[in-house]
Amino acid sequence: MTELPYCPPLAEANLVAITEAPIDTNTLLAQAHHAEAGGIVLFSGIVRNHHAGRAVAYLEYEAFEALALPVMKEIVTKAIQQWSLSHAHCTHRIGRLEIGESAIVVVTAHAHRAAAYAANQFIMDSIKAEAPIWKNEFYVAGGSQWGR
Amino acid sequence: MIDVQVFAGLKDFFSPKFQVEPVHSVAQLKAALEAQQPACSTLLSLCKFAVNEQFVSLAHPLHAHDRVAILPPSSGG
Repeated sequence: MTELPYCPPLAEANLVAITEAPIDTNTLLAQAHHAEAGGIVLFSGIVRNHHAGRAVAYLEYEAFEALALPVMKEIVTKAIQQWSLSHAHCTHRIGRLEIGESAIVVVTAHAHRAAAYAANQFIMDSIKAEAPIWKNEFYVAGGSQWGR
Repeated sequence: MIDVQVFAGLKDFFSPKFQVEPVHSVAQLKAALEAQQPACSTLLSLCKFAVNEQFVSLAHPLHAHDRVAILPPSSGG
């Protein structure tokens, strides 16, 4: 009989994080593997080189961490409960990000893919709308503008 | 004094951290800041307020040594 890998209960899991370091997408994906999870969805929001017709040089993100972390945790916890996820996690990066880097990663795992997709989109949409985190776009032609 | 911290686009109008004389409520603080920077009134009207790391309404009372954070609409992700 094959021994299943150890999977910590959700209460032990680190649900959310805010970091200035590059996000280790591979590790976050590996942490989502679970014997009960038939589907894992990993969304990575990438810094692109254009916005509204303007060439973007880089982004800077800032957060009010004292509230951003609790808001993110509440959203992820709600998703876990609503979809009975076996795993969920969100990491948001802050500081200066270059083109092509990941600004946010949301990982969800469930027995079936439909729930993993739906929960992942819920977490992403909710965090964009509610977490006190902001991006400042710096343009190739000069100048910058806070995201809206 | 009351400690105020602002974020994102509000930093185009105010220092990131500053102090104000005590006022009775978040609404009074907002009005004082609008009077100080009229061009910022639209953005201030879109902001959420937190006192001592808790979201509050405009009616929330303020006391000396409170820490107020003024939070523009989120644009993370």
